[in-house]
Amino acid sequence: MLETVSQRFQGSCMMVMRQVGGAVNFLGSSFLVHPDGYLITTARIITEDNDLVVVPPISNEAFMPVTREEVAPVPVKVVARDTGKDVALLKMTPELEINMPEGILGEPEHDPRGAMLMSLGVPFGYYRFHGVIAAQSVLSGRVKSRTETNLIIFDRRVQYGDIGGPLISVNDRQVIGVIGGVFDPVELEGGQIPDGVMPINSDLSYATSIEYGRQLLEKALEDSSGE
Amino acid sequence: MENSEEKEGWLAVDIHPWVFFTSAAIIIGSVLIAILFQASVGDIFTTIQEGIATGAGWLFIMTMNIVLVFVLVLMVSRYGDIRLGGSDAKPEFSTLGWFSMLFSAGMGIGLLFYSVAEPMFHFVSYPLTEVGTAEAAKSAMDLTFLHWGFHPWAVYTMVGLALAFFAFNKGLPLSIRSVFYPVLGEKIHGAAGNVIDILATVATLFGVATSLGLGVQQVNAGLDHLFGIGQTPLIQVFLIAGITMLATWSVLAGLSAGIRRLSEVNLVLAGMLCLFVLLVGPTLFIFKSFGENLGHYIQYLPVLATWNETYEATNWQHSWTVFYWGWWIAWSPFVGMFIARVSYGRTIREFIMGVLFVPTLITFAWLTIFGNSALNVEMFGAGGIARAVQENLPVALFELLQNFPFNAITSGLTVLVIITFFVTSSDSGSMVIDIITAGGNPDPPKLQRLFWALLEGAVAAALLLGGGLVALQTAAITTGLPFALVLIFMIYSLRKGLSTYTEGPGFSMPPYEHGHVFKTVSSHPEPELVHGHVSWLGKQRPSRRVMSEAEPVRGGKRGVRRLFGGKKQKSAKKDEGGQQ
Repeated sequence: MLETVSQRFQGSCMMVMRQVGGAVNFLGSSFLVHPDGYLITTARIITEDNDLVVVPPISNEAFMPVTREEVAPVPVKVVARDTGKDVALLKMTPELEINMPEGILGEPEHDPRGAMLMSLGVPFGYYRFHGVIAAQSVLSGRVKSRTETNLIIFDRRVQYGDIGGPLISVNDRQVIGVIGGVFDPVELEGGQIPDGVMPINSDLSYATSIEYGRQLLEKALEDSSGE
Repeated sequence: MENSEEKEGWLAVDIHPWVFFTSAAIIIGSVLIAILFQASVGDIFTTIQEGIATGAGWLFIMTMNIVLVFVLVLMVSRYGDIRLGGSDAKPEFSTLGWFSMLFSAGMGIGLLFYSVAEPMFHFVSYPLTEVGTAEAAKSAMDLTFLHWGFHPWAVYTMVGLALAFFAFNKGLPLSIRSVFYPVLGEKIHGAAGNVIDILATVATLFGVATSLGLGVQQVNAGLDHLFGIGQTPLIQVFLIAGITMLATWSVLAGLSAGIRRLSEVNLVLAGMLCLFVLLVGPTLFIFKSFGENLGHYIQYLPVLATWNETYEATNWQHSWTVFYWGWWIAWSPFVGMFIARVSYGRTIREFIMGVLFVPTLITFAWLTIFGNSALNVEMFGAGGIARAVQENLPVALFELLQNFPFNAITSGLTVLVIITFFVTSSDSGSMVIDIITAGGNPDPPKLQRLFWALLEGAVAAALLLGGGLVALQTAAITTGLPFALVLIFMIYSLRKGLSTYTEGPGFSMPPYEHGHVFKTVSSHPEPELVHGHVSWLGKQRPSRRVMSEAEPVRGGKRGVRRLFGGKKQKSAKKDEGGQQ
């Protein structure tokens, strides 16, 4: 089950980086959603005015080096960025011949609670560790945030580098969410943790429902076909 | 041997000349030989078959069991998740349509022939039980279940699965040769592959043609039983012409419009017949015996399935178990091919459950309804079916129906069911041969389908008129021995193919270099990622603090200006300065 999903999504995950002179700086994860070079990621790890690039991480089966010194990034532009729903759509600026399976965006409401999920991401990209890590979790619940954003909670604590990566339904083999971060109901309520109070140390994480990413993608495809 | 360019060309156009013409020549030649020298040919094959049963019966029995275990293991293994045609494939047919096609192609014909006859035979002639006792009745049903149960369907399952997997998931032609790909590699497109496909084509056509001939005799027996028209070869040739025309129409109409619809009609008619016997016959006896037969079968399955007559030193199995195993194995390329063709889009687990269990259960219900009704008549009623069956096999079912009211209607219905079963067998056979001789094209052109459907009818008619039907059937079954070895080999090949299978090509894109290689630097997560959790939701997002001081800044002035240039970013940095 999990290995077939992993195989299906082999090569889908990309690292989002910022190009700074001759170097690149890791920002988070993203994933390919369309053969024209569209990628979905989390809005808050990027800004629109930056020189953004994506870098394919090491995703093959061989033992990978723990750090990578040099990369060949692909420039991307921000097509759309929805800060309210915390999702952004990137597009590779060079035209590359991308092959990918069809129908990888799924239905976030399809799986029942307890369904098996797999998340992909580059958790330690900040530390130049450029390997894709697959992790298993279950669908723990669904929450609507104060801003009417649908969130999927899953029982795995993500690392910061995972943010922007895909959350995949194992049954449907489709992406159902964009990894958002560690789940914290206090902050979700809009409250602030007073100084000196231990923050909630949850092992749960959340992903924003893929429907927002799909909307951005559909709009972008419509716009580009209209041109 | 052709080179690879020619191979591509042959696969692109829809006739594979080697396979197509050689098969046709062998078929026509064999028919002529069978007619001209029928007595001696018959003798030769009978001798060969007896030799095979004596010397290699154990091999058949072992092979069938290995295949069954392998298929069951595959079902629960992780490979069960693999979808035939790739993970995005959608099934072409509804589940009900799928089941009815599986059932019609795999067994329909034989079941009508043997559902009454076989239990009757065992009841009065099985050597290990006392004739006519309750024990004999149990054994009779048990043996019938064995011969029509999980083992044949396991063989069909495996051949169908191997064909479907290599064709739909590995992109090879839908042809028997493709199954050998993990071992022969590209050589499957050469002479070795041609030989394999020619064998499969010839075996399939003979199988279908001979059973068309035998079935027509049963239809004729039924019509004679109803209307007293007599049983002559001329009538049978007319019947063959009629059935062939129906089959031709069905083949031309295509899988979805023709075979699927006929299979469904067929299943409805057969269901009506079944329901009639169930309700009018010994209903309570049938219900009781269904559970008991199943239980008996499951309990004794390991014993019976591995029984080799080793200690009894009899040769009863030669004409029953070993005969059946050879028969099923010889038919497996045909049925397997057809099953593969209609199973696109199913997962391997679905496929095995669908092909192994559903048709088997329907078969068991069918055998119980007809077999136990006959046993009931024989044990507690008027009797006489066993003797009639031993004298004339094709009339078995009609003999049973004579014990119930509305005999004329039900016999008529039976004739109709046999005809539709034969049409579905005939057209699925033509379909399979078409696919193979078209180099593995799952939708071969119609002209070719027409040719094979007509040739099938012609072969059957020629054999009926000229004799040699039984000789050819025996010949077809003797191909079971080489195919048994092929099955073992197929297990290895399929296992190898599955273990190296990856779910599609995944995502791929060419490397984007352009001579620009950038250094990577270590950095730290942004503070709003560390402390932000979901606080950005519903709030004004704080402007980004660009980079931690620990990071080396490269890229000269331009980079520095970009990093520390904007006012907004500076103030943001101040705001969050404490969160380093």
